[in-house]
Amino acid sequence: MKQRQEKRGLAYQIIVFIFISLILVFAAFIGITRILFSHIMMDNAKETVSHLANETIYQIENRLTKVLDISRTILILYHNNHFERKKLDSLLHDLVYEFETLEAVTIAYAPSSYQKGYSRTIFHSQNKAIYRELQPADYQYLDWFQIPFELESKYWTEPWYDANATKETVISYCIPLFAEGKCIGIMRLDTELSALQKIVSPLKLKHSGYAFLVSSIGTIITHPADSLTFNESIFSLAEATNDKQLRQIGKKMINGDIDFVHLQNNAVFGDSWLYYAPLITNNWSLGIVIAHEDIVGDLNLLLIIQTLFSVIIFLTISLIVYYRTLSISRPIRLFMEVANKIGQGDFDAKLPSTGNSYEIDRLILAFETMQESLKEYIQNLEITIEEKNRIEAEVKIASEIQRKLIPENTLHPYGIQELRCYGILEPAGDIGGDLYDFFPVDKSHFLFVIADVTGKGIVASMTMTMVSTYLRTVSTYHYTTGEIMQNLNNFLCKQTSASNFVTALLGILNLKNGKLEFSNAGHTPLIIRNIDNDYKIISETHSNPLGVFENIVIGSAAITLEKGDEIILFTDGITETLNPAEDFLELKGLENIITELNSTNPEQTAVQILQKVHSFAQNTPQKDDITILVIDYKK
Amino acid sequence: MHSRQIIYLIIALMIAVFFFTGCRKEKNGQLEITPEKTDSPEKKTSLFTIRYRPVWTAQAEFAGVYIAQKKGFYYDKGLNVIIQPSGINYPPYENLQQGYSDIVQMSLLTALKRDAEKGNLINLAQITQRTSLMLVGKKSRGINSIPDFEGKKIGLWKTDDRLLSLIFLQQNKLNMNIVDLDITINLFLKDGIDVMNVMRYNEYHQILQAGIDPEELFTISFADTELNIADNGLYTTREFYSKYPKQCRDFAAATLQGWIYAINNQEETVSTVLEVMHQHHLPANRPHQKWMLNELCRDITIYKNQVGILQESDFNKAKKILTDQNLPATRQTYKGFFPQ
Repeated sequence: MKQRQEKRGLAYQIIVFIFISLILVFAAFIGITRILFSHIMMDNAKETVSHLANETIYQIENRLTKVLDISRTILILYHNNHFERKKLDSLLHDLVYEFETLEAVTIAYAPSSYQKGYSRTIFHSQNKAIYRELQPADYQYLDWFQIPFELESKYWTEPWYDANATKETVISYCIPLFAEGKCIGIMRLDTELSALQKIVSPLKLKHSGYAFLVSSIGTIITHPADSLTFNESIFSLAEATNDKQLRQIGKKMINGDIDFVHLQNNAVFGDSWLYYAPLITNNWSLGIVIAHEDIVGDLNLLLIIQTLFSVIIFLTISLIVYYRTLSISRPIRLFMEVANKIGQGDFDAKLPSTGNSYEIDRLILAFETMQESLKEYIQNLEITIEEKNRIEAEVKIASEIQRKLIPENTLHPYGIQELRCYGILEPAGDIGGDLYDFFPVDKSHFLFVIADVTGKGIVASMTMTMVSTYLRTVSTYHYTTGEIMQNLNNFLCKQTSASNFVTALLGILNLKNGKLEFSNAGHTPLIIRNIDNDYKIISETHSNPLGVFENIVIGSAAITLEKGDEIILFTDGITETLNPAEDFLELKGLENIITELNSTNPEQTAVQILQKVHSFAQNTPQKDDITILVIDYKK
Repeated sequence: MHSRQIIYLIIALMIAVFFFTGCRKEKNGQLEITPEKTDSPEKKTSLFTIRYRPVWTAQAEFAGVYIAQKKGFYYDKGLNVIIQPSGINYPPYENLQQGYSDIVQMSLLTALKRDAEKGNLINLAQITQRTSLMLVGKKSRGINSIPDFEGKKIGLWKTDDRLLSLIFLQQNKLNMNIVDLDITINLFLKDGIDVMNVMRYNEYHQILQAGIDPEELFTISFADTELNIADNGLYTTREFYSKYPKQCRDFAAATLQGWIYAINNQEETVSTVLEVMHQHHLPANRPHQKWMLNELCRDITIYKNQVGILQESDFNKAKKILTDQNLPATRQTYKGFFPQ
């Protein structure tokens, strides 16, 4: 037997359904929040970082432009006073002393045909003015001199350590000095690098954000990791980590570009964002690094809170659903038990008194009605069955009575030596509509009859009983078959309903001379089989079936039997026997059976015919009674 | 009594102060590399001191020496090697001749040229077997081929290392405005010059580390031209060599041993080089020193099983290059110059 698949409970199914729905809804919600907010946060971060960068750049530029401003003053002083060196030195010292941004001023001349060249650095140290002179060999090939001199243009140096004068790491603004259109030397204004570093270094953003400065050739000028400062350039970091993206960023930085880029899993900066913007004055670049985590941290927190809320909402809903469905499924379970009990015949199983929802209440009502209906139905059924059993019992009795109406098979019926009889009646139901009978009318006349009441059941049976009884009564004062049949017809017309009519073949045999008079009222033919196993079919009929038309005249025919002749009578139950192919046996089939008979008495003839009919039928259920009556004469 | 004690105390303090300041002065500028190995004290007392001066400031160019010092290869040979301060202000040849140094490092061409003066230079070992010298020009400045050099500004070191570049210009009949350079590449980066001489192991990589891609540069590598000659070698004077031949040979052998170790242990060597550079407060980054060491290793191992050997062909070629240019050149023979 196929195993019935165990279904999940109602609560489980609803919770799973809600869970999946909630997951989809919350996933969509969280996804959309993330997309929208990450853009907003990125924009905010970019704005914040760019503000910070601009402010820092502004502060640095402020210092650098101050140097530029002073340079103009100094240049004017130089051009007005360069013939009076002492006066110029004194003025320059005052300026160095005055301006905190200015660490030292240097005027350096290239060696030429008319002067051997020298450099003079003026700075203030330990409360006094210091003037330091150098020979060309000591400065001629240094960047601060050589680059602006060769380029003949103003130049901001990379940070450098002035070991000869101030002993400070400075950056210098270098201006070419011209005489008669020819570059003759360089004026150099130093400003402390540490002052710039102090602007950049303290910058802190969120948890891990920081700023760094990159020079015009990519050297790292300030960085929270001191080991990087001056040692590394943005390109050496890129090379160390084989990071092509970082190298490209470095190129853009020294190119003066502005951008806000995501460095994903960068070996130097981690997973972070880098904002960079140039310092216009000296082509440096300021970079601000902020960890991706810092930018999206709040968003992630929000998403975590959202997720937590989702889980809490889900759990709450699940609990509510669970308890609610329990209150629904509890009565349903009860119903299930009640249904099982009803199935086992307990129609009085107790239903829950009330549900907690409209549907359950309706269900209880429906169950109650069903219970009542079932009870009523079963009661009716019991009465019907009782009735049926009673009827069946009565039918059985009727069947017994009917069977007793048919004469018993004896070798010489009623002790008549001139003939032998044998009859078989095989009813299709408990009670049949076929009939045969035989009895002596007087000492020399023997009456036999075979009849078939149309229809079956009790009505046919009653009719048959009537026919049988009536025949016995009427044959005592009528001597011809026609008269008997007419009487019977009229009787039947009066007694039975139109739907029940009777075919009958009635014969009276003169035992002395073998004369047989017979009347056939719509019945199957009569067959006479002689001693040589030849046979003759007498199909002659003398009337319609009996019980249809009242007061009709029914004739008769007469033949004379030879010694040993066998009269074979049968009902249409024989000719209408069906085989599995649904073919009738028909009269032809019966003729074949008779041809093959090897019987010597009526019993053998009847039994053999029945056997052959059965073998033709091959257990095909028969709808009609089968009746055979065989009489032989003086054998 | 009290005053006397105070005087003793003052004297003792003064001696202590003097001692410490004296020590500091001595240490000043000299390289302190603590050997990993220390043997028995008896051996230490008999160590022979050699003053070695590199041709340039501390960098991977001298990795073999630092390794030999650190790993105790010199010590094992009974040598106490002092790595002297170096750089633009310490020209090796002069230092050697004036007796400030016992052994110096120089390029072969410089050595052969300067030896024309006294003829007393001895090559103890030839470290690099080919030149790393290159000329680079920015394509953005219109330098795409050698003829493009004509009339442009070229930056050349003001030391003898410019010799080969000058010969190249002469051979190619190029008229260029020569700008003397000291140490930095910034003039080139700032377009103050169009072409510059660089060492592949050093300045060339510095240019790359300033954000200029190799594709943006036009380069001539002298190693690929007929001007390819051996470069760095260890030199001493004949006088010193005659007095201490064994120690000279031991120094060369230990240095080469240091180099072989460096070739086989490049990461460790770079770390050692970086330590030395940090001691000298020199800006340094690992990728650059790694590049330099890698280049040096390739230059050293040009000839199989010939590490440290000055090839006679190289000697003759270098000498011919000088004489062809009517430049002074050593009169020594190969065997006299490289008495292995």
